[in-house]
Amino acid sequence: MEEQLSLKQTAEELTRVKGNSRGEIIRTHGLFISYKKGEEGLTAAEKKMAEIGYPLVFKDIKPLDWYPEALSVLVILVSREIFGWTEADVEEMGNNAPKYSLIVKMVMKYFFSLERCLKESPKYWDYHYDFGSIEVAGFDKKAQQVFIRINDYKFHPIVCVFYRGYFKRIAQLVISNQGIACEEVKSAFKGDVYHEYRISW
Amino acid sequence: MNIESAGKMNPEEIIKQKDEDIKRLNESLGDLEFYLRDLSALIPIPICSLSPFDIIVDANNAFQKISEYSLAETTGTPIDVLFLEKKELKDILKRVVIENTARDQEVTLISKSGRKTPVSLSASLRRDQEGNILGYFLAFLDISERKEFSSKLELQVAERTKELQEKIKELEKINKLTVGRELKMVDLKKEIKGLRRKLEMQEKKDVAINQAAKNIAE
Repeated sequence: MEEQLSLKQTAEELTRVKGNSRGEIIRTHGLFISYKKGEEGLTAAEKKMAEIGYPLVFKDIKPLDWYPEALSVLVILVSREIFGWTEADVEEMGNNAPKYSLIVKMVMKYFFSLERCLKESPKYWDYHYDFGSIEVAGFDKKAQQVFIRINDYKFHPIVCVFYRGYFKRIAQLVISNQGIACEEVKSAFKGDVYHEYRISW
Repeated sequence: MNIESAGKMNPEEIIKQKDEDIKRLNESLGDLEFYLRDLSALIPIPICSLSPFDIIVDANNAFQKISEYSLAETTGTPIDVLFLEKKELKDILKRVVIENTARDQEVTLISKSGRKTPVSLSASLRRDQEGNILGYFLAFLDISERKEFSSKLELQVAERTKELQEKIKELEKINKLTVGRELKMVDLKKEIKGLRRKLEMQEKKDVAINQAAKNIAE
């Protein structure tokens, strides 16, 4: 009961942060839950969301409509709580998200080279969010590394883990190399002004 | 919204109208996505799309069924992982870049459980309007039944050929025997003819001797 209250409090704090994201993000969360936990898991997540006062039905989510980003973050937090997911599971959730995403399919035309993908990344961000921004903070082809910066995103630290997996997958789609690593080197939740990820291969 | 009506609108109305247009477009795009998803789910032919780096980015239900991998498992995987003939597959894709398509290339798909399925692969290249390569579409036809039928047929042909060869050998043997007998008969006939001639000569001789003896006695 105490944990549930804590999740409810977190939800209330999250909804105070302004910003919307496309329904596709919540839909891909639902697909991952369904993949890992089946339909029962999906129902359990919906039930928990309703319990904490933020009911949602995954199949009714419209991919291109705007929803509060808080809702998307809450789905991750709820999944972590009810399924006992670890950081690795959340990272896997982020890693899987581009696999199902309609938006990723729409912007796949930018994925024919890493350079083009990086160039188009601000546009890619705008497809997903109506707040914040993304920028390439550094690209060293010789050293085989890219630094991606996210500005003005401050919902919850769980998303840092999610993004780690997410960016790794995007890199896996545009770099012909399977030994890709992604780490968060700066975090707005750890006193930095922005989030920064280093992708190396 | 047309230009004429837009001209009569105030900025707030124009923004509202544009928002509605965007909403409608988004709905249409969503509907289109559902339509494509349903259509793709219905198609019984395994289909997948690849990034320019030969990585699977999407696959339909039929592909998931034949490969025994879910979409989450296949997406992001290099395509050659699923095939026995890795080099041949790379060569096919290289050819597709030059020729835009490839048709009926035989390769073997290895499923999650290790089952090997011979498939006929067709591929086409995806380019954007600027000519950049966006990836490939691949379609597979399960030809295991055709291959099985073909190998059964080959086996049957081989068995029939063996049977025929045995029959030919037998016939040759019979033929040899027959020819041998015929030749023997010809020889025998010649011998009979010779003997008959000898006999006739002997008879003639005997007649002459008898006649001579008769003449002497007289």
